[in-house]
Amino acid sequence: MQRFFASPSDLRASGILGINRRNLSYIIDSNPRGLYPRVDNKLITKTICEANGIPVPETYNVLTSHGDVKRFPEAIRGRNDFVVKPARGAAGRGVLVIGESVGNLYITPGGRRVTVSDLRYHLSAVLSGLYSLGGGMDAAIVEHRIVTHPVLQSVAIEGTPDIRVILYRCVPVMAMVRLPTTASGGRANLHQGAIAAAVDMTTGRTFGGVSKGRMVDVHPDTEVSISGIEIPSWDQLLDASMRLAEALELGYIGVDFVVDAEKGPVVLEANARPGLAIQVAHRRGIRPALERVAAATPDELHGKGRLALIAEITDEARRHARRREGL
Amino acid sequence: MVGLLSLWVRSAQRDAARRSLEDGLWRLTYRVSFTAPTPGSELRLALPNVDDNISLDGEPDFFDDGDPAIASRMVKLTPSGTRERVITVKREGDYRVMAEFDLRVRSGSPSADGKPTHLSANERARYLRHEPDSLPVNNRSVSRVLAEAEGKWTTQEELLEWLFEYCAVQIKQPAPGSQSDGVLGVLDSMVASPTDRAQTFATLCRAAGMPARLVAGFELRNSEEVEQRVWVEVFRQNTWTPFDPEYGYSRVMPVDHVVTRRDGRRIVRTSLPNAVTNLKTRYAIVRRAPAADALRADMKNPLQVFDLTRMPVEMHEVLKLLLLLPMGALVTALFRNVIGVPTFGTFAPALFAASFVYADWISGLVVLAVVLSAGFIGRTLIERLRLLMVPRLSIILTTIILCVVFGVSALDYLELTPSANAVLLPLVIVTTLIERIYVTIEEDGVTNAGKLALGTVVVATCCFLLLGWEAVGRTLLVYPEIHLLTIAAFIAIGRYTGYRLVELWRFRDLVDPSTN
Repeated sequence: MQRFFASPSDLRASGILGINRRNLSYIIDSNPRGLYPRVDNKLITKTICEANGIPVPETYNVLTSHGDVKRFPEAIRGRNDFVVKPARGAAGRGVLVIGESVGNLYITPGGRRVTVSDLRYHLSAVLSGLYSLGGGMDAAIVEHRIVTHPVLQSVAIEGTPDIRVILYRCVPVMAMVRLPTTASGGRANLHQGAIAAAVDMTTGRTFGGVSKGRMVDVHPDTEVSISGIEIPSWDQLLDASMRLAEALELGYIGVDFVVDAEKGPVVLEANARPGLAIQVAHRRGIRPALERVAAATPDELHGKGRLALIAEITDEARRHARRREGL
Repeated sequence: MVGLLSLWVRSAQRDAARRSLEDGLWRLTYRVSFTAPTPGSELRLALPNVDDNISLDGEPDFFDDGDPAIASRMVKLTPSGTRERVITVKREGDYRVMAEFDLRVRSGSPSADGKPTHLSANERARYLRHEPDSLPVNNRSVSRVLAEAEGKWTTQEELLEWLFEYCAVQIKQPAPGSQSDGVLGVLDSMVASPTDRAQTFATLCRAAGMPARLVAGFELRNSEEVEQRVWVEVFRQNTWTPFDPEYGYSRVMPVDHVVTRRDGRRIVRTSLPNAVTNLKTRYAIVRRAPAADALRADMKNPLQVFDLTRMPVEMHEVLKLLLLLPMGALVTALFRNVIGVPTFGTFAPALFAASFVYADWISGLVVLAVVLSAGFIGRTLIERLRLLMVPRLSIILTTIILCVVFGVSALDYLELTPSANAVLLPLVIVTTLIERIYVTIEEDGVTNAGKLALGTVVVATCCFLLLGWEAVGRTLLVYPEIHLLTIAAFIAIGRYTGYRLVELWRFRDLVDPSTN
């Protein structure tokens, strides 16, 4: 039966996490404010990743002053494709992807032409903090452009699919893959029309699919089925997410990965306030898993114990999915 | 809790301070002289009745106390509730007694509804009975008047009103110096002295089957020599309701009327077989000054910092607005955290609402529209110039200010004097807001920007309705400690871990049917 509103008690019984509870019970308790720069500033995140051997997109250049902007095209001479992003950007704002360059003309994967002065303007907008959290001065990162892994290519339109893993106390509790669509303008933001599919945490295989709150089975642009896709190098990805969570020392985070055709899974960014849309992708509340981890013994938070815990959480998720399907 | 407590203490204090100045303070003096023909003669003084509106300051003074020739005691009469002082003399001779009462009359309007009382069958019979001297109920003249009323009423209340009208208006006042002669004389001549008029009304009420009684008392006013007054109480709708056919008050008496005796027309009475003779009574009512500390209440005192009402009136508006802002923030917090409506900027809606309240809302809207469109046009034009953010924002701010200034000037030229306050819209907020809207449209599309704008408008409207509510502002100005409650509400919202209302919608499909 389709209803317009769920009653709070139904949501509670289904283990749905609301924003208020996420903020008060998980973020404030688990994430010390002082550690936020580690995730809010991608430069710091990258440094931490590199120090811990976690793969990240290769950094070509970092611009911190308007003087750097003037010298910009020379600094990356020889690179045909690259990505410009603000160090402290949020929700994919201010990201400019250059797919190829011909002389002084740059072209985005979508085919838009970008002149050198356009590029400089974008860089100075990034530096002045237009796209950044808090709006203060920022740095611009120029980095390697991810070439989407062939497995994901058929479901990635005008953009790069990313994989989000939510970790609580360094234990992955839920994962999803976000697929850009024409409607979302190539960005992997769910509220703009991107598709989310749940990922089974032990196999790395996608199941189910949600677009703007509705169930979908195939990608709307390519008609390719979006369930049953196996994320390449899944175990490596999961391991990297756990190591990153440990290195960041944040209790409740979302880690975003992309899978590069050559380098495999690389960390795009981490988020100390991960959204709740993952529950929509899974069609299931996240709280049972969070509470299971909260009740875990110290042994269950490391090594083999942790793998067993992940398997247990995943089993529960599969049971839930089967139960829903049966109904 | 602290907020509630201080609110209560302060409101009680303010009330007390105001009351001590506004209350009527009166000293009522009875001076009675009489001759006692035999030992054991008795005199009865009715005491002022204490009720919700009238209280006694201190104990009454009786100047007969200590006179060895007099023995006195207090009695309370039933069922009327009148309190009497009974003075019994031990020797025959001439006596003078005096009594003083300090009355306090609460300011404000009298309460219209009396206390509901139950009238027993005995009491009922008593208040309907025939009293040959004063209330001759069983009489042909009385029946004639009632027969006249026949057919002019359907409800008891209409009959009562007809009788009151008859006694208060149709019966005229006697010529100066002449007297009327009891109820029967009044019904014949259609003129009545004050007491007779009341008695006539009471008699007619009783004859019509409505329990009624005479009330003797005073109208409080400064005078060395006052006459006692007589009016009537009729038992209707389970309460004793006053009617004064002489002055024309019906169903409620002014607060300055003090009841002394119920069920009787004389304040001082004497009765056979122990009656006194040569009874002379004089009543005086003198105004008393309020307490000295009530007059000194507005002396300089550091605690007055908390009393914002003493500020000059021009500042009240601004202070009110400032005090209202937290309320606006409260509305915003409710919308964002409990309902889940997103807005542009955190406090922008509340600030908009505040400035709309400060100006009038029409000019506020006009200014806002001008500012927004000027800002947008400016923003679109300078987008091409590729400027850094702060200079770009400054250009928008300058454009907006120029538009507003020349707009005001143009309105003035057209002799439509604009409200100067409307110009005080928080321009800087508007400037950053324009940038935010612009970027949101670019980045997240028009739909999302529209949602945010709609949320902002809804929240601002709610804030405006609350902030524009005159009573709220006034209450806050008098009792700024209400904001302790506001802070408590913020803490409650800040600790609210329940679902936001929009989440009930957003996650509606996620409800797991198997858990039900």
